[in-house]
Amino acid sequence: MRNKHLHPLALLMFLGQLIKAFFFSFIFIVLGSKNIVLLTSIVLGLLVVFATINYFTFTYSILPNELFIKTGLIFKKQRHIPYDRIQTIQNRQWFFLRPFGVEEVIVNTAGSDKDKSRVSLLAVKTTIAPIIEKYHLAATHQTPNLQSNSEQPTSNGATKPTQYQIKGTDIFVFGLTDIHFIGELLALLAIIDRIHISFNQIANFYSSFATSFYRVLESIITFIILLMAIGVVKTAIKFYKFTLTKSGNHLIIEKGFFQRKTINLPIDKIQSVIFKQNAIRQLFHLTTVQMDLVTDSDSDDEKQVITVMPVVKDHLAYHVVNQFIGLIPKQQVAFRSGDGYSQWLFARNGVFFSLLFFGPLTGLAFWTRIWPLWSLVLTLFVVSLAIGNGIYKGRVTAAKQISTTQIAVQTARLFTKETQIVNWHQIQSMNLRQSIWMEHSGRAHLSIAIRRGYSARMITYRYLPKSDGQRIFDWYRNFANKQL
Amino acid sequence: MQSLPIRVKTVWLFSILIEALFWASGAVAYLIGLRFWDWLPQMGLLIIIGLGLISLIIQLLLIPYRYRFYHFQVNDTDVEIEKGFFFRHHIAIPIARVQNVDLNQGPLLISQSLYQVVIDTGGSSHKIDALNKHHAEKLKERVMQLAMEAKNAQ
Repeated sequence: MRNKHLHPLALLMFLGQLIKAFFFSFIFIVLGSKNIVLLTSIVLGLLVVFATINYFTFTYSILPNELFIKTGLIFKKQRHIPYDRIQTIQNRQWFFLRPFGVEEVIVNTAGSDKDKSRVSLLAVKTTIAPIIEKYHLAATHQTPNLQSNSEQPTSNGATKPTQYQIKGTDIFVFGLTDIHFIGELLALLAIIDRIHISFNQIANFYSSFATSFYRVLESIITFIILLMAIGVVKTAIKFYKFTLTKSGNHLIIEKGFFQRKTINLPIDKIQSVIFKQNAIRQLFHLTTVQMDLVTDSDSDDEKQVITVMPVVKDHLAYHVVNQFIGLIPKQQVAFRSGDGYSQWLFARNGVFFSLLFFGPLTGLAFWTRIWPLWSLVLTLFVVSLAIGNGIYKGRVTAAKQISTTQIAVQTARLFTKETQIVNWHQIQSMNLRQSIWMEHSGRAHLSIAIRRGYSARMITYRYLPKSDGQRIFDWYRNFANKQL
Repeated sequence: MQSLPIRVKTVWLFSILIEALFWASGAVAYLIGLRFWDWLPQMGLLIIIGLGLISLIIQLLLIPYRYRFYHFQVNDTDVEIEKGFFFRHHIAIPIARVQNVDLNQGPLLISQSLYQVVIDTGGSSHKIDALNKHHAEKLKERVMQLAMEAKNAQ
């Protein structure tokens, strides 16, 4: 297929993108003017012209050995993408495109430049993606990728289960245990609180403290329920019919209600596996499994990490992932929990930093006599949270070598536990740090650089026993020796 | 473990002096500002000069420390960098992970005929402050050669 245009619906999609991009500047221009109708039609007309030019200058060719794309009217650009350079292929289908059998196809390569390594075919027939995928598969099989790292702990057995689908109840629980809503809740509470107070003072509407307290409580509960409901609906839309399928050495993830997304990624491009648990999900023994990738195959909402299992029971997580992609041990990694001294160090730092910010704030509040009591309560609350978080972090932060090629590292942020399994090959560099004051207590910080998206993510595991850190650092260096 | 060439101290010295010039020009700009906006506090000028002086003195005093505790080594399989005494860093970069090696030279380094060596992996970047031409070229060639071997061995 040579020099094909996109599906005519792409015109609408281009236009939609343009309107989305210019919406705010557009409003700004239009609102200030006298003749709103005229101006709106002029701007819209211009956008339509742009979209049309875009549409007619964009062509793609699916050649035997490369994907070839031409764009531009004045500054013409031709882009050649050899099939073996493709990292992931994504399809996205809005619900209104479904009847037409049209979808967007996004092809990612491993380039270091975001704009250059991502190509989007905005609207093409759904028959196009399988053709590209076929070429891609053929190309990657003929020439095994140089980057692909030698050992994948086998288990490429064809008898293993190859599909995992999330249940409706699981999505419900997942949405319910999302703690993002707590942040929103706090913000709303602050507003409600102020409204109630001013109401009280100005109109003296509430006859007694009891009714006012009752009202506050009532609205709080209503809002919690409302936010949880919103959370559940949001999650349900995003992860609607989430399916993980293994085909050959590729993983295929499908999800979404209004916009159905399909991501196709080679298993050997996975950089590490992450198990995440927030505070509430720990109570319910639920885990979220994510993966670091070289490309950002889902940059819109997940920031270069891909969720492969939104919610799965603790004791099953490792087992299921192991069955799907190998890479990790069959059983949950048992860490030695941190001692009292690391808990004290983390708690101390937490208190120090929270006081650094809230201390002056409280001082100011007392000095100006604006809500002194409230700010004191807030500060105490934050400090106790910092202490709790410090103790928790101290307990879970650990690093351990789990096989000749892998380490497991664990830490926590805001009561969210993150366990990561990394292969030697995926670690770009390592840094072991120790300040002179940490020497007598025998602690060290271990930083590991793992590729994520277009850069490396430096993760630091603080206050590890020096011997543990040193052991992993030595393993990292010695392994290279054995390799050559 | 290898130390940096001694001339790197001169480079550091000049770069600190240049930074001091920036502080000085900031002070001059503030002085001019004082003439135009009378709400600007006079104290500000003192603060700028004070901060500039403090940073100048501290950095000058730190030169011998930086030099004394900065070591690196190119092994068969990795590049090691060790620096700091109060805050000790020990960095390991496996040569198999090296993507490219850059030799940079700004005007200060040119004047001392030194090179700054930057070792990039797939995402992280590590710097050796200064090497003379001979060593820099050798390090670059060694790293690239070993990287090729490591690639082929895989």
